[in-house]
Amino acid sequence: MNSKEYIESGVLELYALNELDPAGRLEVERMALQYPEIDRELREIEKTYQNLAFAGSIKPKEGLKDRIAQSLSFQNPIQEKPEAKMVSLGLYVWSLAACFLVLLVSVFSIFMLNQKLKETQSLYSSALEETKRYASQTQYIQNQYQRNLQAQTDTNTILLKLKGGKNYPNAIAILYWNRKDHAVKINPNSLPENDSDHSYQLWAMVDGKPIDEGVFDSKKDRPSLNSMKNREKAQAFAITLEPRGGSPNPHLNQLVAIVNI
Amino acid sequence: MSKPKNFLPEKELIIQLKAKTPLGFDCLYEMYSHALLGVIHRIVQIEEISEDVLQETFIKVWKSIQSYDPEKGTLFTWLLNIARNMAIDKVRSKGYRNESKNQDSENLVDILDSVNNVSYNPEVLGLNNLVNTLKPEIKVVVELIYMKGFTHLEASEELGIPLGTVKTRLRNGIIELRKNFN
Repeated sequence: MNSKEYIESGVLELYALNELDPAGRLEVERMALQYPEIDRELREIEKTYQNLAFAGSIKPKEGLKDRIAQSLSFQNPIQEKPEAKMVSLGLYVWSLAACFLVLLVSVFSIFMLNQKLKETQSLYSSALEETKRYASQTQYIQNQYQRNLQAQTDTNTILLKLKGGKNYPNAIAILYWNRKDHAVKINPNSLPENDSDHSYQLWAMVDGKPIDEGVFDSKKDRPSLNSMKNREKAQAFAITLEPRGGSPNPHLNQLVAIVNI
Repeated sequence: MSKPKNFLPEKELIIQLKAKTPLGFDCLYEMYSHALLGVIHRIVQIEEISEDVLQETFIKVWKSIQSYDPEKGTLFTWLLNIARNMAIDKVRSKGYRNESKNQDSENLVDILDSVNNVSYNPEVLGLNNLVNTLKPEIKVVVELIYMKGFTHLEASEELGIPLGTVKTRLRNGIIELRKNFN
């Protein structure tokens, strides 16, 4: 029997009136589960019975309601709807307010934390800059130290001590001269500091003539070994104080220190 | 149909009924007592007994609401069947037979109409008008089974027609009546 024939047999009309025996009821319930169209038809029939029942309504007499109510035992009422609504509305408003407050505090905290973070970041980056600068300075000093050490300890290097002239009795400068690669370096460590208008100039005396070896500065806070022009031969080295940048010929009255070889 | 004063959606009503609250009873009574009393009265036909059966129906509903399963049908279908069963049980009881033994089932519809129209003043007479539009052979099946509470076996014997015919006539009648509500 297909679902259409089953519906048309009229068995559903009996089911909805509770007119079937348990086996018949079970069969209808099974068919309704299996065929959605049977379930739909059953609901339609129920609706029709309900509509018919309402169409045939009879108004009960006054007092019957009270009589029936007295024959029933009641439990405590569930909280009435409007009350429940008011309670939940109040709760809702408070919850909302609390949420809003938490939000405000959170936003403020985030703002403050952000400020702190920015400060910390700038502090950190300036510290990092400082460290980098320091590191590069250290590296520079170390390199220089290495070079100086190399120059000073090279077995081919001779060490010449230029001593102060008439006007500079205490001036001393150390000259390193490599006889193999002819490199000339000067350490002005004991020369007085020169001002920004003047430079010290090193001269090599070759066959009685002064030859420019380059200029350098003496700075107490920045001791350094200055590389000068290479020289293969020389009979003497001399330092004069010259106008800034040096002169083509030495001003001998400004002789600072000298060494004869 | 007048709108009940107290009304709850079916789901809420079931919750209230299962909790056995005064609100649940109030809404159940206002929403369904008219329709249920009509159902009961068409079977029992005697005013006082109908009211007793309505009371018994409410007591039964109150006791067995926990066993109501929405999956198997609407709340009203469940209520309708309790009311019908209570009314049918009442009609078959000894006391009732003694009270109404003179009534002849072949004239049931006339009795029903006269009861409704004259002695009881039902609020709504729509049902009789609707049933009267059916073909006579269908009308009598609908009246016996739906309104009067006969089983289909009893109707088959009463009318002297086969069981299958009773079923299909009931179905045809319900389909005809359904058209009035769509």
